[in-house]
Amino acid sequence: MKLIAAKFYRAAGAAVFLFAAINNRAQQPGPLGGVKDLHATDFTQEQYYEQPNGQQVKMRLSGAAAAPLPGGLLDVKELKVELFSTNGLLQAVAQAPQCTYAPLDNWASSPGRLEVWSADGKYRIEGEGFLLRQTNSSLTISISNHVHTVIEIPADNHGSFL
Amino acid sequence: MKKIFLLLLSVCGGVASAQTNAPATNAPTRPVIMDITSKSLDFDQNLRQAVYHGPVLVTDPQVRLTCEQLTVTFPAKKGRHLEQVQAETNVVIDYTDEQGEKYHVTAAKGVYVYSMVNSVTNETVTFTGSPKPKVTWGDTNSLTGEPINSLTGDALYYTRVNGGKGSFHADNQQMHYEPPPAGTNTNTSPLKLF
Repeated sequence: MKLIAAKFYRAAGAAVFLFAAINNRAQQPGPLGGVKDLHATDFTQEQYYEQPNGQQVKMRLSGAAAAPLPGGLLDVKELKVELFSTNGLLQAVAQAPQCTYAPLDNWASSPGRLEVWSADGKYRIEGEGFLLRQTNSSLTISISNHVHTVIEIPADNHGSFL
Repeated sequence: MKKIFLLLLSVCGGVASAQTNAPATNAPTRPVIMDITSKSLDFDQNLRQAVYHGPVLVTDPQVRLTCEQLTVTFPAKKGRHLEQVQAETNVVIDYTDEQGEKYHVTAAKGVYVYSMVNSVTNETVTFTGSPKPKVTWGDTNSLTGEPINSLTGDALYYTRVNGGKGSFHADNQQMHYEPPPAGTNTNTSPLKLF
């Protein structure tokens, strides 16, 4: 229960931080003087593994720009999600030009394009229309349309029909 | 399909260092590119499972596989060989072996299972369902699972040990084999070895 609470407060803290950043920008004059700029730029949110790997980043979510939407959602441009192993190595990257992000519920969704690739470059998945959802213990990725996967297989592993 | 598993393994967090029995050489070998297209995909890190929803098309230089759903289950430990892959509904596989011979497999369901016991690898693909599973090769040869009843066919198996040549067999074989014309010198076996 403590862990769940801690996770909640961590996520809530990140969301508050993000909203604060957006609001701070909103208070400042925009490039045209009186026009308010409601965008935050170059933001990052990190999620950590549970103990005993509590110091290791599990997932890093970043974006080039974010703007608030109704319901506590964010409109994120140039979303990038990086997944790390418990030893800190980058495992996979997911990238989308635009999505709606729910910082408190940990999901990101868009009718647009998503690309996912392994850190070693041996596989790549792309498709249109996606939902990324991070729960306490798991990441799920759903891609709705036109899924295309390219896999690079070592030649010495080729030969069986399955 | 073994190759498909490599990809999904990577998604799970590690690229599988797949078992191979090929002799080591110094010459670099070009990797093979496999393409998978599907309508949609669901991946669950916790279940260690990726499900491609159809129509699903898998192609590489030797294989063309189509089905309506392809489910890949990753091993629990990073770097291990993929343990199970399941192709479902209207499974059609066209395979060309290293000698250029073409095989055609049809089944309602195909399940690939990999295991290792005492350092011996076993790969099994079990084809089941209705219409009854069938493999054909050449112009006239075929092997079919004998139907148990009007709805389902007996299983058709493909087995491969230690990465060697695989073979098809069925418990209740119903095999059609047409020998070559008289006078032809051939050692072709009716029980085809891949």
